[in-house]
Amino acid sequence: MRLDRLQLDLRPRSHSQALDLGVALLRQSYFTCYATWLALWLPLNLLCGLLAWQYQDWAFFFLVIPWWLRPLLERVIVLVLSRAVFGQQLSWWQALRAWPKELGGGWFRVLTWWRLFMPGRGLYQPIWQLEQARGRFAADRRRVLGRDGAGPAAYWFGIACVHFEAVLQIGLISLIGLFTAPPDAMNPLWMLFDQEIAQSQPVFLMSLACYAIAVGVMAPIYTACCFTLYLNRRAELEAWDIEIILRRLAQERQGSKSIKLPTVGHTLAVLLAVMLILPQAVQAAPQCEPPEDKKVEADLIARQRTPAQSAEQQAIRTELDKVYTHDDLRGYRCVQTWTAKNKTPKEPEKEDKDEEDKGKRSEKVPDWAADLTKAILILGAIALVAWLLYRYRDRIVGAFQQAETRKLPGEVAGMDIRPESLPDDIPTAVRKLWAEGQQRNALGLLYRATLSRLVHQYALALTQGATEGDCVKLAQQAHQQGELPADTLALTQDITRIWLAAAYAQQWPSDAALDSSCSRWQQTFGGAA
Amino acid sequence: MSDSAPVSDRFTQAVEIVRRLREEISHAVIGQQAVVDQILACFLAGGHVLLEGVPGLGKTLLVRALAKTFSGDFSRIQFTPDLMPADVMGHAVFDLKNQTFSIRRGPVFTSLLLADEINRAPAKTQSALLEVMQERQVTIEGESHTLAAPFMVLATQNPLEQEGTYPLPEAQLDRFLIKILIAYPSETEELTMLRAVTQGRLGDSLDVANVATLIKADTVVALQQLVAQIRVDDAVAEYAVRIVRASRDWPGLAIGAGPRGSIALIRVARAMAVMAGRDFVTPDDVKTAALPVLRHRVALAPESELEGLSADQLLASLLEQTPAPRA
Repeated sequence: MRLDRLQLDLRPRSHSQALDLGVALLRQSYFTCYATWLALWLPLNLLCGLLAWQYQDWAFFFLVIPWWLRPLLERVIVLVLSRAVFGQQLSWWQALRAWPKELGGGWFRVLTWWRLFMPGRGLYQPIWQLEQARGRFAADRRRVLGRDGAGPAAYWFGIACVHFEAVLQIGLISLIGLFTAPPDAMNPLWMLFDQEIAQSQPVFLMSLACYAIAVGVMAPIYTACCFTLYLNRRAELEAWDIEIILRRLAQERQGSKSIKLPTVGHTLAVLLAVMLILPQAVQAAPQCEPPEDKKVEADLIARQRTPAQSAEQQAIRTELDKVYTHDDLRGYRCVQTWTAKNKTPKEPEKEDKDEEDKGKRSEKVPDWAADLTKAILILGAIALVAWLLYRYRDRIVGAFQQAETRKLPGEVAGMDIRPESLPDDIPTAVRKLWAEGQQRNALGLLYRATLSRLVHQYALALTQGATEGDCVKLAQQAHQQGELPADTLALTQDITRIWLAAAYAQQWPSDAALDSSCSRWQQTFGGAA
Repeated sequence: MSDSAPVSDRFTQAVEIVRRLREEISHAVIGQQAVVDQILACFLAGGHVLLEGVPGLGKTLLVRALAKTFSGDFSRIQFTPDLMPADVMGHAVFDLKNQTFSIRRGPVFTSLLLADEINRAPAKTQSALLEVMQERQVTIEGESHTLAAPFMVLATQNPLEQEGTYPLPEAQLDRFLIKILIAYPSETEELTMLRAVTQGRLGDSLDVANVATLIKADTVVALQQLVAQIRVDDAVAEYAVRIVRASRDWPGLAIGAGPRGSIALIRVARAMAVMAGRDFVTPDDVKTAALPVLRHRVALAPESELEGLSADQLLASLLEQTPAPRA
């Protein structure tokens, strides 16, 4: 499953919003969905209609068949949508050919008691069809997916769809009834009220045709909505949205160059070391034996396994077994603690003796001594933490500043504002470029260096889309919050003004003005990077 | 503003005139500074404005104040479902005395036209007006009449009562240079307004008696010509195009702005540069102009509408993520 290809905008959605999303999804692939669905549904109805016409005694049985088989036919819609949601568009013919393979799993349930009493089946069809879950595992999956109101939402949505279908069917029958009603009958449903006509063959077949049309319209909507409800529930359970964001972050991280700054890692390593040397119960690397019932379970699984079909399958099994040895997946926890070596179970007859021993110990070590030791140890620990915080204060402050600046881009709209990309002595470099006649480069460097200082010294959060005016506005906000000195703000405004006139109007400042700006820059930010 | 003066002097004069125009309008219109600025920018760019806001926010007053600043004519048409194109454009009447047809000009022959609740009139009348806005000429009985410059239409829409209205189609909305959303004034502004209106007066509205007439209609045309000559760097023009092109495949937008969008963006940005006292356009001008220029040129996707997002929200995120130029 390639979550990065998912065509949905994932975010926490309520069940009603998730159902609503189904209509949007269906709209994307409406042609294939309807074409494939109708290619199965309409011929089935036609066939049943013909059989009902031919074998009039069995007419009712043949009319029930389309209703009965509908859940299996709906799987073709799930097939199309499950591909479409990952950006793969199947043709209606491909979907039709692939449909027979989708019929395995859950068919007995959906065709028997679920057919009558489970209008929310659409939520659970993908479990058999897409996850290939069977038996007990499928039952567990149904239970998990149906929790938190998703099951009832699908159930009531199914009931609502049944009503829609009924309304459509009755509407169509009424429409025909309006045109065929005898002149004296005002009731568009006159056919159904006349018992003799109602049981006649043409009315039977007309009802089937109206049902076929109503379900033909509604079934893709019902299936698509239940499918998005299923997707929403899975996204919620498996945190797809977070995974997508993490993948995106990883991509961005790979794309951007790393900024050389002190890391939080240093501080964390120190704190971890402190924690490890404290005389606490040590949670060692779990190497202990599994409990008896887990051993039995593992043996059972090993015995149930068929021999590997190929080397690849064997490799996958080995890989999986390795994964399942991880702490989080083993099903039991291994904890080591300190316990008294010679501890023996207390015996009731020894109680008195123990009491005596306790009394003797108390006489030897007074209570105040124990309390004093405890207090000294606590004070010592506090002093140690305080000293460590003081000793590494620069790194800790740096780490927090870095956490702020790491969010900021090293590049703003094509301008490299990383400190290491700038020369050590900015004013001298700017003056040199200016003297060489590279006016634009000189002013560009001065402006770039100003932005770099604002971002890296004052943690201004510039974005890709920030214009020069936005940068000045952010600087003003920082000044109002007391994070940016007034002279730095004034210098930023002046340099931005000079840069704007130069960049967009080729209006160059005088030599004196540039020299003055460079001097002010030196005073405000210092020369060296 | 004399045409024979050097360009730099003319520009300085223009900036001064624009500053005084804003000042004069603010004598009558209390608060709504952003709205005044946007309308003034559109006026200088020679475009038309679509105003959207609930009744009673001073739209008419604003137009009257603007008209008075340059001794321009001002007409107001209340659009109703039975308004016909001839009521707006004018028509020919038969003069019995002279036995000839004479042309009776409609309210469209003016400098500033306030088309109140434009979406209440049927499509035929709307189209007639929108054609005049585009062509700046009226054809009555086969005879073309050119409208005198400056000509600006300020059409209003009420966002609340949609019952029995004829919403303007996207193609016609495109003819408005900008669309302005007027919000309620702030508490301080409302209090100041209350005092100004109720202090020893009989009516219940502000008047434009305090607004001085500063320039002639010819000067307005000269101003508009000067604005059209404001320098636009290639990087800035590319930025405008980048924004407009991004709107075409931005998630949540069904239809993006067409090339007319980027043209409008630069026209308004030029006017904004003059209002900021600059003779060149910066990316900030483009970014400031983007919302009013583009909000009526894009259409939301149904999903965005369902999720309650507005065009402004989507465009704001577009602007946030479209890289700004650094030349």
